[in-house]
Amino acid sequence: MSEMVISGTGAVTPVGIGNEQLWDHVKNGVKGVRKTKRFPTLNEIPCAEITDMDFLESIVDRRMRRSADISKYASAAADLAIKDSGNGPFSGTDTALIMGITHGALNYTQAFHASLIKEGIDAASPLHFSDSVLNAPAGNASICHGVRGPAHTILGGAETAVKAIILACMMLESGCVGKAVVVCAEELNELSASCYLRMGVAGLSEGAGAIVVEKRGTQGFPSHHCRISGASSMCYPSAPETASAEVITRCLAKANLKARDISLIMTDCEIPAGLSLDGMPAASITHLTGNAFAASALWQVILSSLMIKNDTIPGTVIRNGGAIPDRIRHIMVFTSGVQGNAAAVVLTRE
Amino acid sequence: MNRRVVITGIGISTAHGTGKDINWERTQAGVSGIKNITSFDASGYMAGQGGEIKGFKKTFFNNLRDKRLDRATHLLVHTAREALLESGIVDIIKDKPALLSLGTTLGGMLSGELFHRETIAKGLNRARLSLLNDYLAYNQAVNLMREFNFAGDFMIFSNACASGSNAIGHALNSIRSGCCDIAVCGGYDTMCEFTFAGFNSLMALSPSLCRPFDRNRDGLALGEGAGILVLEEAGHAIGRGAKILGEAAGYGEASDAYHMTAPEPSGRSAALAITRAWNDAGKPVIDYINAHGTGTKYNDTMETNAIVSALGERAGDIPVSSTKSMVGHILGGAGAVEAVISLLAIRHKTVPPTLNYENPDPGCGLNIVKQAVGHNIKTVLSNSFGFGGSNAAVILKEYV
Repeated sequence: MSEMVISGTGAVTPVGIGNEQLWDHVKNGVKGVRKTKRFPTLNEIPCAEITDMDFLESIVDRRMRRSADISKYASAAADLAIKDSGNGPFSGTDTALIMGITHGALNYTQAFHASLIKEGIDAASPLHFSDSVLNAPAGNASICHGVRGPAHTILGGAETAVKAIILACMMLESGCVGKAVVVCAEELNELSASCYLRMGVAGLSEGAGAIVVEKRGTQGFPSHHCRISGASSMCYPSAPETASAEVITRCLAKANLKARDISLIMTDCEIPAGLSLDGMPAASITHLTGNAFAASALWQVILSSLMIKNDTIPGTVIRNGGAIPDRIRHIMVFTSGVQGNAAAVVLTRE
Repeated sequence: MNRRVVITGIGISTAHGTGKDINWERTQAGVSGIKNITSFDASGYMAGQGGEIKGFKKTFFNNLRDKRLDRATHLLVHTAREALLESGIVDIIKDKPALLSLGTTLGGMLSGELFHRETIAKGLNRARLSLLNDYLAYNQAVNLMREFNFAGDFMIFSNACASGSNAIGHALNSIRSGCCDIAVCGGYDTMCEFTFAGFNSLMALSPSLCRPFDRNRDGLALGEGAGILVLEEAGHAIGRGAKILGEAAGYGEASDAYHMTAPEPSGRSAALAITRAWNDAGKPVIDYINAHGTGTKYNDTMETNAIVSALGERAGDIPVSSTKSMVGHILGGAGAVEAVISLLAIRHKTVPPTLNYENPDPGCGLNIVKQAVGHNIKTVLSNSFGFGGSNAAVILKEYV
């Protein structure tokens, strides 16, 4: 994994679209989470919406005009990351596309099922069905960008972003592809927002993130953001704390680092005790972007990559009183869930 | 690092029943498991039949509480138990981290359907949230890990009908690369009205009989089920004295980048997936092809093109069958179920039949097998192709 680099990033977030806008808005503490009346049957609820849909319409393939929002976000983010990497073409069989999804195209799923129940069999739209399948965002993105290598959709919570990066690195290491585009995407949905509200989870979000992962030096590309020096993912359903601690330990071991080498941890989760990470500065952008599950975790990776590239940690993302180092060397993105799933990735300045 | 990977346990549940013995008995006998749908009212659809597992309601659990668990979890755990017990690995995976690699297109969609019906009937805030406990696909993976005190990691692929084969391929590659020594892999999906209505809206369901590769084929039959394989690094399996059922020898994948629901007609990406799997396996002689063979006009012609393109002149001689004609299309579980059937075909040296194949299609010039036939099968190619242009091929071999 030491040879893997992130050579391009693309973000479609409620805070900003594209690296530059995301970076500027995060630095200025622009909040994407606002009270919205988007869902007619719910009262005003706090959510983070993508409002600049014109931007999406202008950059995606015309065939995608009727696609679900999640597919549009995914394709737009992939497009931004590919352009940022400046190392095309990405069409053909030498590129993999790995999509991390938590909920998928819930609006089309709900619309299809609602029309089936309320109006009958003949009212159910084939477009809603074909775009509701969980791999529709990956399928649409691969069509948009002509990616004929493996196109995978993997499912799970926030940790899925790291799993997608691990899968991309495995493919690159095996030599089956030369480049990989990792994308995570999510769309807001009334039913889902209502359920999460009832479970006490507010501030849901939508959008997509994408990164281009390549093997260092193989393509002779001019620059990259950072190196992926270690990553790990585990699930211990009966011992979530063990999973968190072990995933961090393994990730550090893969990166050949000690805990004290980490400059910053990007996470929304509790950092496990006993790993010499006490007092470490912790940061997150979720309070700005809202929670889009796997997509949020990839936004943390993208922002980390931009922080390394710009050698700056915006004060707006710091979550605790940990001392911010003068120079950023290694950032760990860590995520864990109540079901015992945990994942971590370390990004390193060259 | 390129380590040999063997199979030490298999489990299967289909419309033929649960368990490998009943499945093989009915498969080689050419019994159809496609019957009238009973889990929902299918009378208004263009097709009223599918491959449901009629006698299966729930499995037993040692560690899970079955309240509110989706049928998908019951099917998955039941089928995995068969594979894990055969492999003799239940106690080992409690201590030694292993990979769980699964494919599904629906996860717990039956629970999702029920919840949505309640929201429509009672309102957003009145539907039972507990119905969503097992809706998302990774819940079934976590449930499986809980039931068997499984420690390690899971990966859930949802690449439509190729998902099960992708899961097997990922398990194979993970063991080969040294990420793990043991991987429990496969796929599952349940029969639900959402999917049935979806394929109905696409005019993809056969109003008569599922007839893969037949000139008069007019669509697919949906099914439900699960297939699970325990993959192990060969040295690990030999070291613990495990019975080796076969070898996972090759895997290939590629995407069409063509259309969300229609396959690319020339089959060039499907051919690439087959070629990659064949190269990965060391270019063995293929003795039998378990085709994706959905029974739709487009798929079967495309698959023929792909097989001919990848395997050349010999393609017309290799026995080919589609077991979907008997148990239906299990979507995310199809590739895994068909891998299990392929392994049983190697073990029993018998090519399974293709039901309802009566009128050869000149556009599908393959050696389609109508009735089970004895054949010295050592190597099988199993194809899986799906929505979004996902193509995957797995090669399984006799272990020598």
